[in-house]
Amino acid sequence: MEKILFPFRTCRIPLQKMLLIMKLTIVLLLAGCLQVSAKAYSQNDVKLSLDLTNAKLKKAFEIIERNSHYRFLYNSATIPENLRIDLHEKDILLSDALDKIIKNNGLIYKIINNKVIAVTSAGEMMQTIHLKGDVVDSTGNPLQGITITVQGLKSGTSTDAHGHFEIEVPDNAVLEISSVGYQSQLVRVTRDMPLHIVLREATSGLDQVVVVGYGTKLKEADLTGAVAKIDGEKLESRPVTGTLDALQGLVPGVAITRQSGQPGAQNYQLSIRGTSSINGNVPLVLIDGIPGDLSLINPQDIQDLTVLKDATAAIYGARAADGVILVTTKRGKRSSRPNVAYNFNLAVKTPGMMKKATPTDHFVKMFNEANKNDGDPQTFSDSTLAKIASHDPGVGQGENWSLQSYPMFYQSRNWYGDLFKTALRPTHNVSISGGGENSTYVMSFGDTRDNGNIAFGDNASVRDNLRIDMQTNLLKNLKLDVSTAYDYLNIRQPSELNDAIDNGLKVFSYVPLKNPEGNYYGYQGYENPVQELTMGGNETITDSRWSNNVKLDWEPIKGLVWTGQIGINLERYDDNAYDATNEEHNWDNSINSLIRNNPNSATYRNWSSVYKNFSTYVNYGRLIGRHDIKLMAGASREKFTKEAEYMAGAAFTSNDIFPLYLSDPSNLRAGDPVNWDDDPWALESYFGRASYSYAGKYYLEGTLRKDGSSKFSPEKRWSEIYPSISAAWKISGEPFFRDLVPSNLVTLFKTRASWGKTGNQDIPTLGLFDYIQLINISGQYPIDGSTVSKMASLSGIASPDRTWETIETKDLGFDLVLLQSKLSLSFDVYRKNNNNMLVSVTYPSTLGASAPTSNAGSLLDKGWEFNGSWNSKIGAVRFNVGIILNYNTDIVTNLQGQDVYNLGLTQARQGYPLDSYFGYKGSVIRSQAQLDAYASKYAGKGIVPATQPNGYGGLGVGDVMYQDVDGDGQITTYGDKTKGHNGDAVFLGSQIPKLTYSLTGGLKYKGFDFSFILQGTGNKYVWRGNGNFGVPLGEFWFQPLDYFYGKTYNPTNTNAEYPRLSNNGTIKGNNYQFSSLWLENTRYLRVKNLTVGYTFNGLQISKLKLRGVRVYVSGQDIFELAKGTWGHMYDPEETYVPPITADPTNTAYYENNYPMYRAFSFGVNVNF
Amino acid sequence: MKIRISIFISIVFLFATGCKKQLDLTPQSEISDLTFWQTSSDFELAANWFYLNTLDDPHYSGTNNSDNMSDLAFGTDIDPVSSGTYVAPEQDNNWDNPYSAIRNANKLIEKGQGSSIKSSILPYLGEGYFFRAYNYFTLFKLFGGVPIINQVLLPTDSMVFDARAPRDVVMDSILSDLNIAIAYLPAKSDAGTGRICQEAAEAFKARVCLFEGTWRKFHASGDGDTLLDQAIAEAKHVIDSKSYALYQGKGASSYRYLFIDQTSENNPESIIAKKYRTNINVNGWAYGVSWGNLNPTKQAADMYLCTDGLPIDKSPLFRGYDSCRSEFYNRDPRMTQSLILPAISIIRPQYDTYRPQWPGVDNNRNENSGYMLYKFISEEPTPGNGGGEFDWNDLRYAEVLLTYAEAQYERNGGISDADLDLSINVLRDRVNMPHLTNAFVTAGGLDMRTEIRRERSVELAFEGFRWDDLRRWKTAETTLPQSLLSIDVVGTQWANPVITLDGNSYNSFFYNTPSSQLQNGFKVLQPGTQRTFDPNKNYLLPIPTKQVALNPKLTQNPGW
Repeated sequence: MEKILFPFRTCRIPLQKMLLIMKLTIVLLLAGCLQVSAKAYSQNDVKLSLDLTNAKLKKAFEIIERNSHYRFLYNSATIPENLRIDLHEKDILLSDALDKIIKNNGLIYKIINNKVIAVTSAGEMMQTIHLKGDVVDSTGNPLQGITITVQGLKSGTSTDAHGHFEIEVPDNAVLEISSVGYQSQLVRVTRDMPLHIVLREATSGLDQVVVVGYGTKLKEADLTGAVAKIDGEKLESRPVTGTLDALQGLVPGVAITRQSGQPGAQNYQLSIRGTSSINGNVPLVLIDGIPGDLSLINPQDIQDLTVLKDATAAIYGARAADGVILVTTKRGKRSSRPNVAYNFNLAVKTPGMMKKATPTDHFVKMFNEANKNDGDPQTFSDSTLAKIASHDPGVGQGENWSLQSYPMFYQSRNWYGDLFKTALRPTHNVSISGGGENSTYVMSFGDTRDNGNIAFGDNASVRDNLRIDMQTNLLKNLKLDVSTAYDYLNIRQPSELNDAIDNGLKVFSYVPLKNPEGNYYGYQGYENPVQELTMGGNETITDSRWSNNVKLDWEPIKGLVWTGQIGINLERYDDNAYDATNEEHNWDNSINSLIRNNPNSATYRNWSSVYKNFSTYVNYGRLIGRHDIKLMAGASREKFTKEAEYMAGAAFTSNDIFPLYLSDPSNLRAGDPVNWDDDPWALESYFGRASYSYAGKYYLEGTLRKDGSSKFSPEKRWSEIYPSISAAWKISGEPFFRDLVPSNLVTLFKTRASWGKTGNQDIPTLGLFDYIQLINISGQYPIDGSTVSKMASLSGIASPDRTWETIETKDLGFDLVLLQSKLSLSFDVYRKNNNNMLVSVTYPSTLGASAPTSNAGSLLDKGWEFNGSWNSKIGAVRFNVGIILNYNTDIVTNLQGQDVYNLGLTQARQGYPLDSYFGYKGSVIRSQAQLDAYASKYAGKGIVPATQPNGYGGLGVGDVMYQDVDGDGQITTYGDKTKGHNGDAVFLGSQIPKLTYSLTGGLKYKGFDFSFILQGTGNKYVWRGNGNFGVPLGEFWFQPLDYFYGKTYNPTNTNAEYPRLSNNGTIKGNNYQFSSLWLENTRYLRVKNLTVGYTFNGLQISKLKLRGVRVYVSGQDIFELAKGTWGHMYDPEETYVPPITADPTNTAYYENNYPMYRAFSFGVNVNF
Repeated sequence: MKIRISIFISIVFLFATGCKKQLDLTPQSEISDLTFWQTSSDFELAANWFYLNTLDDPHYSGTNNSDNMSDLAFGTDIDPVSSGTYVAPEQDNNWDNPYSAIRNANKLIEKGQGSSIKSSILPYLGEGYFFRAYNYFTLFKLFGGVPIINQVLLPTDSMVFDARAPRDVVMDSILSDLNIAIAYLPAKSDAGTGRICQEAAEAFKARVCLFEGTWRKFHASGDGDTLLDQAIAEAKHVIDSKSYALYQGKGASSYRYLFIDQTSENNPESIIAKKYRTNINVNGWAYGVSWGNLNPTKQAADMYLCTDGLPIDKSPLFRGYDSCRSEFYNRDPRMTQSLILPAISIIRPQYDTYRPQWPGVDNNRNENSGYMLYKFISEEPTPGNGGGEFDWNDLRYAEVLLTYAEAQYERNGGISDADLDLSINVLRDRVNMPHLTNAFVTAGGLDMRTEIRRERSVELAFEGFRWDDLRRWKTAETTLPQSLLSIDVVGTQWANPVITLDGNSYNSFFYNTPSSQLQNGFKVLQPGTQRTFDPNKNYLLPIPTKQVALNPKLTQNPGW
């Protein structure tokens, strides 16, 4: 019919486009101009050189496609098979060429959107339709940013804030309407009529694309392994400090715990399906393919996050033994005008559960009760009790033990509670993203100022994240992706923060803050915590990381993509601490000569590191009939180098600023390499994957990986080739299944199985050069009495024989999607076995050093995961609920017979879970008869004191008795194993819960949305120590926690939970042995998050048109049902997981830990 | 296309395999054993390690060398070794740490003997031998015969599983190492400040020989005389060298200040010292000792002579226990320099002004015995900015004098007045006590051995010698099972609820002591019925049970 020719203009090559986009982006960044749209490229005709001899027309089209950016669209049936073309032209205009090969052969063509050349026969109607339409979700709300593409072409558009779109399409074209989170739809265009498209949410995520590593993407429905994916938007609107915080409770099998509420130092612990080694391994986190840190990345930058939990992680080899988390950051969208988003959140943090020492009246009563139990005179007189009750403002003669020469006050001050206040945490994020036809860009900047809850001194952290990414097609088959991120964390805190928190509990409640002259009062040796915080100096920690990631994808042949990637991360860490001298005052206002931090001092510690990662891989995929084959092979090299410095100065002439040159030169000291080593490591890896699927029903995938690590001797350096294999069967794809079950009842039914082995060398206890006998030169000692001498000693025993730990994982699971995708269920059972775990084999001490660990242990993790969700709507209300359950047990199955454990926490013992508590089984003696029966057998033997009527620490009614588990007639921890007695310290429970679970849900109605996350754990145990505060009156010079008031045995409280109070060392020694009596189960169910929001679409504020505005209020950690918190004094999540190198029985954490907080926030998200 | 694929895959692998050497890295923080041991300063660094890591400081390390293990002191809790309730432990640092030091010493000796610069490193090589002997002696004192490991072992060496060498073989090995050390080490005048010198090794050898010489004599286990002869010879050699002298710098109070006022390099009495300096090496023992971790018992208080040189049960000068202070009058001045006179005002750690001292008040937190330790109590409110900065004298000249006197007496069954003047009377002179002479002993109806031993116990009280002494004298079986006593309560000032001294009033912690806790009027810290000592068992400590289990050839000590 009629040929409509659009004017051609010269087309620029893609590189120039990229430069243009870069320029535009820079303009955007600099000017902050928000309404510039990047379009209107010139459309001049291109020139081609064609040399066609007897070529088929389709071949001619292919050649033109390869040499221009145009694509041909035609119906094969309309192109005559026998048509042959001869054309030999140099620099012919495309329009001329098209005329010659198309028009002259009786066909007509039309160029659409300067991109597509639609070819048809004269007989066929050839029309370009200017199509208008809108896209709404199932509740009728317009959807913005929905991508509309013409199938087979790369052209497309996206919807505006009202869900509208307009596009030129050839008649009979098929439109694909898609967006993350929605089920794609295909619409055949037949008429120039407005389209109204309703997109259903991709509830089961079956169509979502999941990145499984090294360039391979699979649809979720096609996965063969245990892989979980989380969309970035789920992390966005929670009032949290970071990604780890936000992830809690969202991924089955991923456990996240935190230890503190201290800004910038929450100390999150992340594990996937338990842990794979007693050596404290952690999951590998890759940000766009390069190892990174989840705690520092801005959650707003995350597009999605994939967790590889089983053998599918094996492709990452060397460091993947504990699973892999793949983070994909946000990219701009092609052919979209700039999208500017601004998010603001203001969180109000209130201190959560906090320890509380006894008020003065409870303290003196408990002390007097202890005196009575010990047969000692009453320490606090009755008149003192009366004065305390009446808040007598006077100052009396000292009565408290050891403090008789200090004044006695009658007030009660909550020292600890007064140290904390409500604090604000504002967060700003701004991002600009968009793209042209061949390139995309995104720039985001986030700033979080996290103010600490401590009420005195300067305590805050600032996190800034700047991320820029640009992607462009250098050539049509060569794609460049350049991203750079700068992550900055700055923490300011008083140098003596932890000490001050500790002292907050230790100062007696009756001691005033200041003396009558208004100066900080120092009461005997108790350091005034408020003064410590305000005058003791400051510490600043700055961690700056600059990550650069350049990735090139080249597709020389359709289906074959070569990728080269270079990641370079620079990190600089500074920790500068100043200890300023300060003076306390006595009550009479004289200066106390206990001068703190005298002389003043400062430490400067810093290190900088360079991490380089070079990787390259080739992906090839081909669909042959119903056989889908994907192959990948690659290699990578990684190297890490570090330089560290550690300087300390003392006796600075200034007490306000601490530059090193102001210190006394004779006091300058360099630190030890023990603390700040700068040793390098390197890894080299080869890997490959092959996957095959048939007809979308049968899936098979295998991977191989081999690594070399610098941490082992040259002979043991290379790992074996670690394999993994996984398979899936989509039963719902089988005709017989479809005959039995209608597809609207069961959308998907798939079973999966996987097996794999992974090598592990990322082991914290493995030194970087353990295969060489090293001489450690460190320490300082004044041999001549004045100058520093260093010392050299043998650094352990070299281990040339050590090699990789091997972790074997097995997984069996199924996925079920039911009732038109309303209900999704998935279930996995798994086993993870570390077969040659590095463990210490104990030799006689005559060896003179600990033998190096050897690959002789084993650890078994096993468990199951369940994930279920229901998405539906009632009327206009859409809602979803989800449940996640994970049950995991770990057992140390072999430690080569070495059986080291202690009372309290033990990290690893053969036959028991990791981080288990061992102790006596104790109970309170409640009658004389009980005492007599017990004492006749055990008194004076083992740990049990003799009975005496009073004094000498005699055992009495109200004390604790212990079970003689091994029946050797005495109560001992270990027994004498050479005589077959295993002692009486038995397994009492583990710190790690077996069951973790969460419930999530939400609903949407018009603009309103509501969501919640509940998260909890099964039994987990904690022991808070038998020293200062884990037991009442552990030391007479510290006030007990008020929790114990009224809960101790005395003749009028014979059913008390805890033994009688005492100040007698022997009695306390007996009662405060670590036993079941002091172990707390801290299982909990917590409302992690509640959010209510409202979204305004297309809001017009005077002249500013906003695409979308969402306002919300949200609460984090707002309520819980918890056990073992000691009357809301300890947060149930507050569990100290000691690093592998730390003393597990050190419970000081429970005294000086920064309390957790609850956060309530208001936020607004604006899209321009 | 297939060709292209293979080309790309080849490129990938070429790219990656280009640098095989990238995994060969060298450590940047520590030095390889292969490149160390080249210069004299390398050997010096290796020798330095032993000073910090093996020199014994009972108040800091707190393990098995405190007088709380004896009858002289009582800590905050009952001491299981002292009271005979000790149970064989699974693990014991007293076993593990010396072998770790021996491994390092073996390395130093091995490298030094094979070194091309041996002649210029003899002092450090000598220190290697000295500290090997020092650590074997630590093991020997506690456990008796132990496996001798004189080479650097690997886990695969069978020697790791060696049996215990007999007691005399270990002693021979220790003496052999000490003899080499004495030969290699320079004299004090030529030695580096603070380093082990020839005289120090001789003094230590005298200690070793006295220990085992008397042990053999009283436990009837071999020839003690040869060892006692060597003890006499080595002590005499140290005395004659005039390298050391008693500290006299603070006049009548010199004895007390010796421990808190002098850095060891300026202290003529110090022979081997563990050093503490602000900002270099600090510890908390200035505070720890001050907090009452080591409270004197009545047994300790009673051993001080009266100023007439007679013990309290013989001297007319003894004033009894009626008042809180009466027993302190007319006594050896070392008593009030070791024990705090009730209610006197002193400055001590954490207290910036003079405060009257009273059991249970201020830092005399542990009032249990009623006696307060004064020895080692610093006069600085903040000693060493959080740590003690007072050197711990592991071996001081006074011990050499006492060793000389005791070895003379035990070797010869008597001691001449001349030898007494050379030794014990030097100590008596410092504190203005009458001389000990054979005539005085006879006149007073005293026993010379008792007085020599008393002098040692008084002079070295609370320094960690007593338990070893009781064992080698074989008197532990009678001394230790007795009740540990504190002050006299019945009929004395302590029985009053409130006691007035120097114009101040103090609460007595003892006024209502139940009679069940009294023995002859003295408050009982621990009754004898709760204390045992099995002579067939308790003279040695048990080898940690895990070591016995790991090594079948390692036999446990008898009785354990």
